[in-house]
Amino acid sequence: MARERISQAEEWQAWAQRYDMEGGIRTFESGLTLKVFLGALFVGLLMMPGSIYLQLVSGQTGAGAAPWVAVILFTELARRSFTTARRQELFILLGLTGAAVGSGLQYRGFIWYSYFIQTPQAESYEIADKIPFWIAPAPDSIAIAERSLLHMDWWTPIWIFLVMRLLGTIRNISAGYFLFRLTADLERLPYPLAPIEAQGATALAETTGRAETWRWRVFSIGSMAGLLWGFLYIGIPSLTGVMMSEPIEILKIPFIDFTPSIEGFAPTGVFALSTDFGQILFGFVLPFPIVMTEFIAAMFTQFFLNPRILLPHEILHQWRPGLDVRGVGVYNGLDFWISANMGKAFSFAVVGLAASVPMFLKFRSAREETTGVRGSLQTPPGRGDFPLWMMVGLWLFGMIGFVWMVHWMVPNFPMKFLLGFAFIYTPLNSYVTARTFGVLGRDLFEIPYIHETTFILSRYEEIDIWFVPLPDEDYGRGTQGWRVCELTGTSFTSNIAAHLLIMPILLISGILVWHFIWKIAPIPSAQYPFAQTWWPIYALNECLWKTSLRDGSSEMLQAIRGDYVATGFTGSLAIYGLLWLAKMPSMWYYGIVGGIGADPGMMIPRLIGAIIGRFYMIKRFGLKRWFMFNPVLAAGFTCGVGLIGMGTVAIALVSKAVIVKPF
Amino acid sequence: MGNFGEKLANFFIVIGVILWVISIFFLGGRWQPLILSAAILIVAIFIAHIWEEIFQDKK
Repeated sequence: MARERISQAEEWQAWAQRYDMEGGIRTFESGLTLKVFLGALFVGLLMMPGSIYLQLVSGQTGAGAAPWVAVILFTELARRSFTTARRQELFILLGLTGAAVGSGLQYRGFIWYSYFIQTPQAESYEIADKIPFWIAPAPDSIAIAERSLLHMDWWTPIWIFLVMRLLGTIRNISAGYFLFRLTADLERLPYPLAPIEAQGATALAETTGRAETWRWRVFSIGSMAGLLWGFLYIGIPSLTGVMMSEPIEILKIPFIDFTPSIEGFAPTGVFALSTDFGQILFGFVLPFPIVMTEFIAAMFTQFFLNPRILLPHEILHQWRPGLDVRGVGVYNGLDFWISANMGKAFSFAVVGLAASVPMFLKFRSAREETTGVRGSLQTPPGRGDFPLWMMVGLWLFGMIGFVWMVHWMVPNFPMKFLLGFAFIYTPLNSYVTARTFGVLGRDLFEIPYIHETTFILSRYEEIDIWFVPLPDEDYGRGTQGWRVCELTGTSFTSNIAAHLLIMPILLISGILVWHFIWKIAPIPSAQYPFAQTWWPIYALNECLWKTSLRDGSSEMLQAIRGDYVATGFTGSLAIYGLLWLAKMPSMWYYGIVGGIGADPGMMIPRLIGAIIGRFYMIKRFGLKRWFMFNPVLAAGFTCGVGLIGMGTVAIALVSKAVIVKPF
Repeated sequence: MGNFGEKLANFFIVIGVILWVISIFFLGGRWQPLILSAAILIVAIFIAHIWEEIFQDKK
């Protein structure tokens, strides 16, 4: 039987419909109440240290769990108090808790540059003394020696960060709202993934009735599994690390390296088995074709393409026996894969653009045909809308302030590039993304290596430009948040007010939490295995990039070979073309091209999850029920692991406070 | 436009893929022929998407 061809838009909308529970609501209420605000603050601040700690120990933040913990606690308290929680309250609670946990992670840069500035890599590439004062204090600063973020040497970086953050919030709110009005109100795009996001609040609000629901049971099962796994994987190494010089790891974090073992039959291949089996639960949620094709493509690369084609042809020429996964990865990258991956990134951009362009032409006419009316900018009553001129004015204020700050930081960088990014590229790029979110629920088009290209075109060779945030922004994905807010019936004003109220508290508490975690032990060190394993590699990569344009003969420029970039680019396009000929779903393309060059060992936990989900869980529970269960199960699991992270960081902090005192 | 767009896209894809294979195996993987085949494939992919979204007859 001939396979029927479906478009990318239909394919992804069909995927989204599996999670779609209900349509929009047209009555609006405020979701901001004192109990919501305090609840979000409590759970957010409680989980923020745990999520930072988890990121350094295992590379997973667990940030996704915090909103669920908040909502589950809130709904259970409401149920036991014989009251109900409104969906508007739960929506605000989800947003605020997510912001509270996420705010902790944004300070990672301070600790990272404190480490980077002292690394032998930065020293040998001669950039340690060229890192600007607005990024981190000098390497010999007492603030770095004492591992203190509260020292006055940090004032300039922190002050600049806070001003940038404030201006960024103004721009994101105003531009996101403006684009939402344009795409959702005027053009009436469907935003197919918005109902999934809204589901968390809308569905759980119903559980505050008397009867216990399946969600609570599924969430509890996930939480218990997460607690157990978190204790084995995070808890034991962290707790023994507090008491002993070397922590005990039941499973090596973050992977077991089989690369030296396979070099006999697959030289230049890498295989490092990820030990984070919590990823199994995320394999449940991801589309099966993506996980499967990604794994097959990665196996093909490491066991055939690298050892049988690229090595004999001396394309991979720096490899030598005895290297571990990191060494092989660095040499393979410099020899071939950095270039080929650049080509792959360009192919994603082309395919995304090709899928976006017809949607511009199609959806407007389709809407007019089906509804008979065009959308308008008229707002529904009670939604809490703002005048569009005010939003444009706010965005202009935020963007002009941002450009001025960047100009102050890098005064010799040509202003025309900053203005071009801010006032031409950013609005256009944001509008394209807003439209693709409105149609597909995801971003399709991104120009790769735009910063690097700009630096080359500007002929600016100073290192400081690599540390500046450029004004090439994308507010398109933020439009979906406004649509979710609308679907839950939450007034826009209450949503904005809630976020502005909690922001100052989070900005200060984030710095304090990082300060105390840094005080526990140097980052990276044995106490933080993930950071200890990967940060030196990140430092090397950062040195390679940041020196790539310095003298025209840098290692990175030599590594980027036009032939190999073209190979990656054309090969990826050819794969897309062949899949289109065979009428295969576009998910296969993203899986295959994403998997080429990657390490299959890192994918095994997700693959196990995808296989269990596809061949056991769907048969056991039925397709619809399973797709209702798995996001809640994954959230419960993340919550369990997050709680263990939070517990261990608390114990580590207390223990450190006791041990460092000499009396 | 019927199925003409689909056939046109198929034709360009086949040409692009054949040129890609020739570039890799017989022309030493040089960037010039590779980019030529990429250009043909890009045209094919754009035709494919425009046909798929706008002109394809839906059952």
